[in-house]
Amino acid sequence: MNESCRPFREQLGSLALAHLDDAEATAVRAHLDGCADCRAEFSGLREVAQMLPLADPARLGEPSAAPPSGLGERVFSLVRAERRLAAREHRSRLVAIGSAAAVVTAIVVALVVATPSDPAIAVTLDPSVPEATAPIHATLTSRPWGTEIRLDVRGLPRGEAYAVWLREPNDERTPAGSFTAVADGDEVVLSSSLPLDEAAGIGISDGGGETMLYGHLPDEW
Amino acid sequence: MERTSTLREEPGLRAAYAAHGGELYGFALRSLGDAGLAEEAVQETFLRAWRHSDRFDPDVASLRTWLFAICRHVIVDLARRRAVRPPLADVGTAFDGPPDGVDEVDRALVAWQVEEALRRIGDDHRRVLVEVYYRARPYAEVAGELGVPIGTIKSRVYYGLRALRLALEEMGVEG
Repeated sequence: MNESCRPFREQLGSLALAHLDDAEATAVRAHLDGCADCRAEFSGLREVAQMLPLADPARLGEPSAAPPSGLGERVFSLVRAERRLAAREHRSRLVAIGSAAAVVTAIVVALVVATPSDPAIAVTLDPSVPEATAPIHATLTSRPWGTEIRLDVRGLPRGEAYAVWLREPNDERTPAGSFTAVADGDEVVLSSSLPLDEAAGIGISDGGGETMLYGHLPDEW
Repeated sequence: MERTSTLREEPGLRAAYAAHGGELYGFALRSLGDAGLAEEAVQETFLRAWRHSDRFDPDVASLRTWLFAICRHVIVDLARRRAVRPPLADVGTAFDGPPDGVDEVDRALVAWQVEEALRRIGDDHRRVLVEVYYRARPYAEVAGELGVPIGTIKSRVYYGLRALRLALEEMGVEG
């Protein structure tokens, strides 16, 4: 900025806010016409001035919102849980990779059984302990009241009771009913109030509450 | 590349949260107007960031810009989800609470950033901008109240806008 700019420079803010009277504005604009430095400065100020109307001055008295103190830890534990699931899925994928059946399974996982009315999705639930049981298949259908779940339970040990739940993105579990695996039963139908598009995964626990199988739902389908 | 791999690990994630968790929460709260939903938005933002950390390229955008981009999408998703399931008592009434489109979330983002930047500049500068711009008061009146010449008010408007611009740049706002 050279000396000739000085009388005009400090008016640029008011010009950007359209607060100068006609005579003042004309004088400052005449200077801007001949001064690239001041023009550049003015254009920067005008950009800021154009954002001002969006702000609500009544909110300025409030301090910046601080996040709840436990939020960070909740974020990290959520990611740790997700990491464990991913590692488990990776392991079971490695175990299964040799068999042709596993390739079919992988395709089924990604298959979206789209119908025009009620969207549905096919998921494979992998066992927490790979040897404990075979992976089982589920079809989840979005219903007006929540999610309908059809499980092919042929791979489960008979005579045992199981609890089914849907996992929400925040790691909360919404119960989806329970059933007992019987000798001649192939399929059980259960329901949950959680909308399908809010489910991040589906799991099956045994009578002791231990997660036996889990399947991750695709983020977008 | 180095930052990409660290975001995948917990120390990198912790550093990212320490640097940006607070402002992401502030933005989510400003957009959604609900502390519970804002928390959910922050959790989901970091979860998605972790899942897709291989897509983060510091050569393309800063970590902050990338996290805010994710957060915008999360907020739109949350707001839509809330909008399609109004409380039973409200069925049939218009829903005018949270933003339901990207444009509205972007407006809320700018609004939050400008408010945050206004909080960060000096008291004298903020006060003058609030009086002459938001309250549309005459310069002479504000000058009289503060016991300074009108030229000082103009000067504070100028330096206030400059400071605001700098604060916005520091926050990563593209002009």
